[in-house]
Amino acid sequence: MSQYLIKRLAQGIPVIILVSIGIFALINLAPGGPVAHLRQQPGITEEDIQRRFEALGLDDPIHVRYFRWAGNFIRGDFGTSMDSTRQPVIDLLRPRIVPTIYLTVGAMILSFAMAIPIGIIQATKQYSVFDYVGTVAAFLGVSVPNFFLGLILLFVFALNLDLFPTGGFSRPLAEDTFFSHLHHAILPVIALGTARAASLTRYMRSSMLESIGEDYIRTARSKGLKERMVVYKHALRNALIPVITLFGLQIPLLFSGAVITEEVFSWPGIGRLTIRAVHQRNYTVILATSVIFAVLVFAGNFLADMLYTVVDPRIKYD
Amino acid sequence: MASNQDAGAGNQAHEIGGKVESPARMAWRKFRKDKLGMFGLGVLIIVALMAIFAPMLAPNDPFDTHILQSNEPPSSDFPLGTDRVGRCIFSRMLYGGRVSLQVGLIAMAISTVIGSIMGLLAGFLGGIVDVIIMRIVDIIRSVPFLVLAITIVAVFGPGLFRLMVVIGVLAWTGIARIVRGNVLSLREREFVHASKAIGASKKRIMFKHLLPNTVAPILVHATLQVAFAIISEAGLSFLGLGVQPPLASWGNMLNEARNLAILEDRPWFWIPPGLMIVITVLSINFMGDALRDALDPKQQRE
Repeated sequence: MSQYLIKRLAQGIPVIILVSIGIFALINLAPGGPVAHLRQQPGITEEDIQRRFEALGLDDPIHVRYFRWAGNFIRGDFGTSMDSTRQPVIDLLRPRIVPTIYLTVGAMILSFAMAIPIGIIQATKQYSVFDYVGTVAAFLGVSVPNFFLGLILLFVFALNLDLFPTGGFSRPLAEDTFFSHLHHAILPVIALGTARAASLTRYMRSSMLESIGEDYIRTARSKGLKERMVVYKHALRNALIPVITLFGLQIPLLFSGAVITEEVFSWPGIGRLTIRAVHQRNYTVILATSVIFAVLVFAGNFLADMLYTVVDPRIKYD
Repeated sequence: MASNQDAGAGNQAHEIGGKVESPARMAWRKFRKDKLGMFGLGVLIIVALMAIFAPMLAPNDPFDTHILQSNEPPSSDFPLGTDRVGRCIFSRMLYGGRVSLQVGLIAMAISTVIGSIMGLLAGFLGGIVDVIIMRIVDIIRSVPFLVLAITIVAVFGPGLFRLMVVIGVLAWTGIARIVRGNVLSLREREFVHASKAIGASKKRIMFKHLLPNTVAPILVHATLQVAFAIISEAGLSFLGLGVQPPLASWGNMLNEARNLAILEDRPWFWIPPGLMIVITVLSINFMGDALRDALDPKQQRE
């Protein structure tokens, strides 16, 4: 297991390094360089720009700058925000990682909690009304953009029925409890998780159907095992394997969705920080958040691999 | 000589079944039986016609600002009311359909062409080419799509044309993987060995023999890609990083709903364009699924 862990890291780290090189290069591709947008502001002279250029160390060749940035990044120094606050980027990022993970893990749990039982019932009662309704609902779920769903949830449950707050992660002027966080999180988690749940349901259904058609299921039945035992113990376990692969592939989608969901619900996460940074062309923040997202995707995939061994004892990583 | 043989084969087929069914016709016959797929196709045709004939259907000019009649609820003059600067929302929605569908189709075309070529090259040439291409695929896939897209927009700025290119250039990895996988198994088949043996060039083998044999999965993926591009356009425009006003798109019309007062008090601002996205994407997904079944030779549902 530890050997596999090392192997996986050895594969993942180069990809993350290449991502950082790519985004670093991209940002330096900005027409006129990262400070070019300053030229559009009145009252800024060419000398001011030159001074900023030197202050930011931008007059060094690009590879020198990259290595300087990467060296600092590894040491936890993500540079200074380019907006007027001049805060260290790490201070902007740190408090936002937990809300983003809270939101994505919540959506992940929701999607599994919905997809697995619905998929099983659909497969065991193929061609029933439930199956048909479930299929159409799953189509609808993958077709609704998560931010539109978020807006509808806000409109109905927060603004008209007043059941939930309209945004944020914490209560103003009050101590946060587990339930206060949950209360804030329910709508964004539904908005983000629905599409993933719908897509997982479709895979769960077809995977379960395939698994139920296998010979060993017939064997289990002919042994006289109870139908419940056959479905939940024998068929389900094998049906889960492809679904978990899919889960690994969906992790980037989950974070993509989180970026926009955070914006809809004023959720204080990394996605919202990224969007604000994009509007301000705050390149140091953009660079840091993109690399953090790549790390999170890698961590998620890593987790999916670990889950594999739980469902499928045939897979041994050594 | 060759034409003689063709004629002979044709005659024979005539004698056996009366007519030979082309693969396209066979797929269409299967597709026609798929209720959801046909429903999707029908709705999509209506949506496309609404976009094409927008100038005739729209009651008002989508850019005309009737500043004295701004923020009006739906009325006979303005079927879906007016926005903050008094533009007719219904007309903007029709014209917005043109923009959203255009982004969907062009971004799909870009990603399908890039993805197919990359997949062909990686699968057929193998070796270092394969390693490099698949590494690029890994890199693109390891950053969430939206994060990469908004980073590129931050650097190059928003806009309709850039948006299509950004979506197209980032969305080709899925199709490249599918094509590569297909090519890997196809290239060991006899017809490829045969054309190699008669001295066909690599280019000829790739584009004349391998590509036509992977057309079915490419077609299915391309269909779903249109849906993906429409949703991506909507998301980026919703964030203010896509299509810029005064040009309307379904996504940037939803941008208005980021204001809680508009969200609560003027649902006609944002619900109709949102529903148009849902209806269009849903129809495309129905179609894509039906197409997948229709083009799958293993699935003979008779």
